[in-house]
Amino acid sequence: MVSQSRHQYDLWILLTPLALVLIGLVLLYSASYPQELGGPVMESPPGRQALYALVGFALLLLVARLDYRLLGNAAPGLYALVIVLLGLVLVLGAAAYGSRRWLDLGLFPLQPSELAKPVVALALAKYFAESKGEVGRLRTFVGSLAIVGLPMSLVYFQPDLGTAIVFAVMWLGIAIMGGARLWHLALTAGALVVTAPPAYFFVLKGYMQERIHLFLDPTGDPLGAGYNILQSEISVGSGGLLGKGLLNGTQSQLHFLRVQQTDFIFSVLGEELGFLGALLVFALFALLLLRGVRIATEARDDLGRLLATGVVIALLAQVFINVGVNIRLLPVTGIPLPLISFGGNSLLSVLLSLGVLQSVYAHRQRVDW
Amino acid sequence: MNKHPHLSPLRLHLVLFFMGLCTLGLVVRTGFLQIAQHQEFAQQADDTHWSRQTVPAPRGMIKDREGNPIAIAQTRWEVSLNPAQFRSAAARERAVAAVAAATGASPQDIQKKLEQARDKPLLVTDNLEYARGKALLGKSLPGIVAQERIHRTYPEGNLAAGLLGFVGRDGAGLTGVEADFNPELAGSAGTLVFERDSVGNPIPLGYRSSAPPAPGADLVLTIDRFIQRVVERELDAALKKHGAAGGTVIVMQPHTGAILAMASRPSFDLRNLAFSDPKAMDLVRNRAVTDLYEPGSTFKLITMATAINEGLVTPETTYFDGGPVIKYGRALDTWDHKHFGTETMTELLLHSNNVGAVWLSDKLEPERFYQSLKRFGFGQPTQVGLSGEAGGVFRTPKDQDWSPIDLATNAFGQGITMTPLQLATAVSAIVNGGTLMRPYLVDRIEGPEGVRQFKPVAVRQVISAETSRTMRYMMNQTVEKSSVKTATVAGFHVGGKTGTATVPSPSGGYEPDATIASIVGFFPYESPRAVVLVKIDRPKDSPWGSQVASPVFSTVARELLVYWRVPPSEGVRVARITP
Repeated sequence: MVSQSRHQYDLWILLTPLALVLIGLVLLYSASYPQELGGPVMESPPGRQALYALVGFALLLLVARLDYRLLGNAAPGLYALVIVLLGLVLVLGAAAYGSRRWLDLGLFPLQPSELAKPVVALALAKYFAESKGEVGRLRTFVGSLAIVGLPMSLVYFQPDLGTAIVFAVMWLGIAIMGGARLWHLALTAGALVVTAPPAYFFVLKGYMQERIHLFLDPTGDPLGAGYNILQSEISVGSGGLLGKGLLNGTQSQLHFLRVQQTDFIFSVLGEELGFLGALLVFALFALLLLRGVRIATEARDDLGRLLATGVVIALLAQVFINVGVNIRLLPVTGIPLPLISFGGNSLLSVLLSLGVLQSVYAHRQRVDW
Repeated sequence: MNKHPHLSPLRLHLVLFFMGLCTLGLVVRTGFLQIAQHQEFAQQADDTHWSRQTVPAPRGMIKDREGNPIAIAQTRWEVSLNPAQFRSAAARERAVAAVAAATGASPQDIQKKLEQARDKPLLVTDNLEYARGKALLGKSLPGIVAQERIHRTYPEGNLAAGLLGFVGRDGAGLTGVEADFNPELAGSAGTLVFERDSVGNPIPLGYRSSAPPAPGADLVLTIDRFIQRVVERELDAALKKHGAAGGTVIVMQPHTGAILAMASRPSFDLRNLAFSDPKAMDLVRNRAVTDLYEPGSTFKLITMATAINEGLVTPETTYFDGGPVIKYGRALDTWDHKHFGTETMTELLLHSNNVGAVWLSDKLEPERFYQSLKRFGFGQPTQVGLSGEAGGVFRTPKDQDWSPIDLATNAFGQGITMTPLQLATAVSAIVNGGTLMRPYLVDRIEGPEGVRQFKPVAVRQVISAETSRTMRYMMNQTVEKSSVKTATVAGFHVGGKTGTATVPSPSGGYEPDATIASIVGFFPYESPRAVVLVKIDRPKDSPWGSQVASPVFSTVARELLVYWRVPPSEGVRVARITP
């Protein structure tokens, strides 16, 4: 019996992200040691990340109390807002590492592509849930492609290939769970395979092609573009079973490894905490994802089910791509490791998504006696 | 199920399968890196953060026979700026200012060069004084990279440049004695092993271990800096006076083979090495041992000594010079086309009579003549211990292209090549009692483990002591009975023989106007302490050995006799200086 007055939280979806964030803070402390820890605590990377985490968890609890069906109603408005922001970023965005991803809002820099992840998931879930009777029609299928295609291309032109891929995978998950005909999906996949070679030459930007080359042979430019691929592989590999211990990783502490606070923080984990540390993180993510799948199956309606699916799949895609890059399973594409990498936007986006998941959980199927 | 018409278990399983696949991929790949390939990557991680630096060993000194340093090693600093290590613009400015102050360069210049180098490390100086470098390092500013470097300096200036040779940027000897005795001089470098960060800075409190360098040994040459300086001064003066292209002077101790001075021109400047063009590299060789020439009449000493030693002639033996001799279709004449009728062997040397030399060669016959040449050391290097030493060439009847005329011309020093050192060594044997000594340049090596003393090495007895005494007498007569007397030294008896050699042309035959004017002599007559060979290439104003080379011999001899405090010869009148 569920009481309406007493709000329900899923404890796993609270404790698992908390554990991951704490691991992240420890790694961040190590990755910033000692040069960036000299100043005031709240200005150091771990201090700032802890502050973001506090805000994020507050946001999670807040969103959890909202009925996700209200969010569903706001989906068109939120979607429009995100598209406008993504458009603005291309025009006004601040450049970092050769791409425009940030809007400077004065108070804090906003990365619209992070905000876009939960919002696009919401829009797609709403779209598939609304087109219940016509979900198998080609028109519906093409419509969903359009919904995801617009933000995807805006992100792609920042350029941010990694996030664009996350959108694509998220769409795929929602489409499968939303009831799209499998042969539509197969056709799309077929079209992708056929267009891949020309796309490689005409759509992929030079830096993207270079990254694919370097993925295949990083030793071609060991001190230049291939440098971090080799260094991250060395970091993870040299960690061994138990790791070198916190603050003892020679690769990360001596700065052979670059961008180690953000996209390559998994290498710090691999080097300092070893295979066991990596397994712990994998297990926590697996727990989180499986719990998310369970919430999806228990959702009271299509919107809840698809929303939960979108959140889970987006999370999976980000973890897989980020770690895959760190262990040279995938070509380099810069996306953060959810809940662990340094960065307020990513952390807030993931915690917000988990809040949505909590909301789906709280409003799950009512058991009527 | 009605509620979710499209939610089939298949679709859910598809998603779960996909999740499982991704997770499995990550776990397997991570495990592969961290377990299966762990050793390999652990090694790579070690390699990247350990750094190895060589600490150069102090190079040994080169000293003259009295122990005066001619080449010494000073530790200097090679200073570079590595922009990757600058943490801020202010740090960059501080580093540039400090380096500028230490090196005396202007900060703007360094700044400009840094910009041109596009943030690659920039070498600012390779020769910063030790104390200044130490002080600069003491400031421990990031971005300043300094490495010790051994720098050669020359207290005697450019003295004996061609003999010493020079040292490369890496501190290794590249030519001359520096190269040939590099293993002894160099010592062995030490190593410093330390942990470094990604920009190459040593980690404070990181692990360090070092093996100290073993210093090189000092080389004590047989060269005497005073004699070397006299020789170089007189050689330069003669070249200038006669507009000559080059020359060589060797001073040798006849009874030991020790080389007291050895100088050749053209040469190079040790203190200002500029070897970007190959022409400059052409100047570094030690011409006294590498370059061959046809000696001309000085070689009559060898022919004469052989004939006397074989008992074929005595100084008083006479022959008849009635004009040019025709040998195998070629007319052989005296150098001045004068003919003296009947003359003694001593007069033969005095007049430097080619016709007489041919007469001697007829008496000697090829077998005895060429056998003697080999015994005097011609045709093979002296093994003085310098690389690039030439051995000289002469044909013998065993060679297909030998003809009897070769014997006749060889007898007065044509058609046979040798180095100045070979001739000086052979003449040393003639005056020292008949023993061919192996010439040598290094008296001893003073290493950390002790002193290695080199002893004179007698190669073989070439002529008898009696023949040697006779030859000394004849050489003395040749100098003192000469009509020009340019080789004499007031107050002393000396001996010698001049030569004026033609220069073989690369296209065959001899160059029409070029000569090599030379003399080889010894002093003092009573008990020889030095054999001096002077060779002047292509003098412009006078071609003759007696005019160009003899005055150099005379001056050097006078200076050395005074330097050695040799009392004037008995029976020679010396002006007494009265107060």
